[in-house]
Amino acid sequence: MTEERLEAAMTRYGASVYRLAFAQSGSRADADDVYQEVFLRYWRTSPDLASDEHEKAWLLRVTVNCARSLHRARVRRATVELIEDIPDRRDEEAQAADELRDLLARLPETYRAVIHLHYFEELSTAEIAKTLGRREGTVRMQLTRARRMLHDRLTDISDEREVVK
Amino acid sequence: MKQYREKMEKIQPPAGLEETVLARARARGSTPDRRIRPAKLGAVLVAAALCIALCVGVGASAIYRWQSSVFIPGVGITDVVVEGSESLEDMQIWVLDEVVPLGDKQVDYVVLAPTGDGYELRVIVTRGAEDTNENYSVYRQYLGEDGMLVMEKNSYFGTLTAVFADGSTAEITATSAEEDNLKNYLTRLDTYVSANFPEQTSFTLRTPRGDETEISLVEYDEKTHIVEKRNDKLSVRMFPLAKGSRYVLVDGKSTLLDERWVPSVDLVAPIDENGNKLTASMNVSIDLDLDYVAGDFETLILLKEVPQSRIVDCSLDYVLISSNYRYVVERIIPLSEPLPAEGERVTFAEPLTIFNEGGIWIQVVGMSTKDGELILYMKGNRTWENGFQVSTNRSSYLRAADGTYYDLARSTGRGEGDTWTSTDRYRRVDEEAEAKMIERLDSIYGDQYGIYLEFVTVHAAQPRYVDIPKINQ
Repeated sequence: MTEERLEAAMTRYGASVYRLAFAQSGSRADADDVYQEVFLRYWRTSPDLASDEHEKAWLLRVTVNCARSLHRARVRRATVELIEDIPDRRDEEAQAADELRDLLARLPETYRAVIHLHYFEELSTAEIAKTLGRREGTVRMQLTRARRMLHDRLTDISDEREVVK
Repeated sequence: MKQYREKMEKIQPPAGLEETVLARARARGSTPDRRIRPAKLGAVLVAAALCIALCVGVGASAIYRWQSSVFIPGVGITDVVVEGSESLEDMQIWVLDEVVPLGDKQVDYVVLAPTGDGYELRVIVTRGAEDTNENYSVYRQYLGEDGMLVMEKNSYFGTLTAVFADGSTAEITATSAEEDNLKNYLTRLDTYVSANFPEQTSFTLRTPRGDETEISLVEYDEKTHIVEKRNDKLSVRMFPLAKGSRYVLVDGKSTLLDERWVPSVDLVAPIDENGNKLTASMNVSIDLDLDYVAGDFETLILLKEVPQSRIVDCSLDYVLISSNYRYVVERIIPLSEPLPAEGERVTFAEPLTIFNEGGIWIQVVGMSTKDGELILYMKGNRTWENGFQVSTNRSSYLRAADGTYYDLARSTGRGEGDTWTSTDRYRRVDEEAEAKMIERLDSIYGDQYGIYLEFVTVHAAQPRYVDIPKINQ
């Protein structure tokens, strides 16, 4: 594989990979790790992919797998939260990341990729099933449940803001 | 969902991430993969760590050759040789695979390269099966002008500055400015200060955002044994073992093994109010990689989460150095025997080997059912290798012929001589867990009836007798 191909893949799909990794892990630091893992794996394996769609699907699937592996590693390496409140100058992106982290924390890990791939990457349930290696019926069920959970949480946030106002 | 989209659209890969991948890919080269067996990775990383330590020990311009023995479960003691050139000024490539006799799998290489803010050492290895469970690690080492040394995994941005009493500063380059990682900065920095500035009593910690806090190294809570500093910007907790002693010092030449240098250290023999030893409740897990500050061969271990309230005395006899290596197996072992009826026990004519790797084997010798539980009778080997006792743990699921899933609920066993036997009890999983299992395992199980072995953890442990001060003296 050439560097140009790797660079082109990162340019085209880097944001998608990063966001999916973030959606899975809820952590920028983990998303950084996953992003690197995914594209280095792409570099090493140099997959023979028929089209851009296949390339994207391959990258998204590897992202999910890498995020899972990282999650497993985290489970056996528990860490202790040190920082409780750090007021700072948050920019818009950091704030969005915080809010998303809060949202994603409400979802079981297995639902996160489903919701992200459907609502952000706009994949069909069949495509999601293929990407995640799940049954289509399972994906539909998870999507319904995740949507309900997210909706409840977003409503809560909205209500909280109204109260603050 | 619109809100989700809007928020997610703001999430972008950080600047520099793409360049980091390209640099790593470049360093990796486009040669065919050469992989290292999982059990070997620890050795490589230990080698790299000690190599870095040597870099510091002999100064930044005189690396010639370094050799050490490392212990690998299932392999034994192996010599690792690292060769460098005379100067750090030039990029150097140390090809380990010519000198590391680790079987058919290989280390990729180690690169030492000058960077804008110091030097960077990359240890690049791959491991695992094709496309699954690969691990690709880059460790970086920065040598600042003040001698500050930081080892980071995948570090590429973010700095933390420590300002000392004399006005000098030390900077740490770290993985990110995420709050979660601040604790990593702090433990590293504190260890660094203790090791290199023993006369230092305090320093100011400044985050990348400019937040500052004064950290005292001598403040100490008599009751909790915890040094704690908080302001509205930062919170720092340090857990001492005894007055004035925040660390246990352990022989740093230890052959600590783990793919992430994360051995657990068990403190043994605290005594409760009745005079009973609390060996089981006194485990202290330590992320050694956070504290690994090169500069000498000693390893400072930061203690945390010691359950002080339960201890009236703590005469620590030894520190158990242990390491775990996890073989990710992820395969199905078909069971040809039908499940026995309730109360019946079946002994297999031939034991069913479910794992055999690195000299470590695990077998199923029979099974029974009782009170709705499936019981597998297991047997395995345990060995002592070079002072390390090697044993295993496992994680597995079982799928019955009717598609019902069982999870390994508990295991009771005992060792005798070179083998261990155990009774593994599998319990039918609840509905929620079953949904997860179906999702995860059904596609690969198909109609297969058998044991899904997820991973086997090889545990190597060795007691180290050290002089540790008493708590509550």
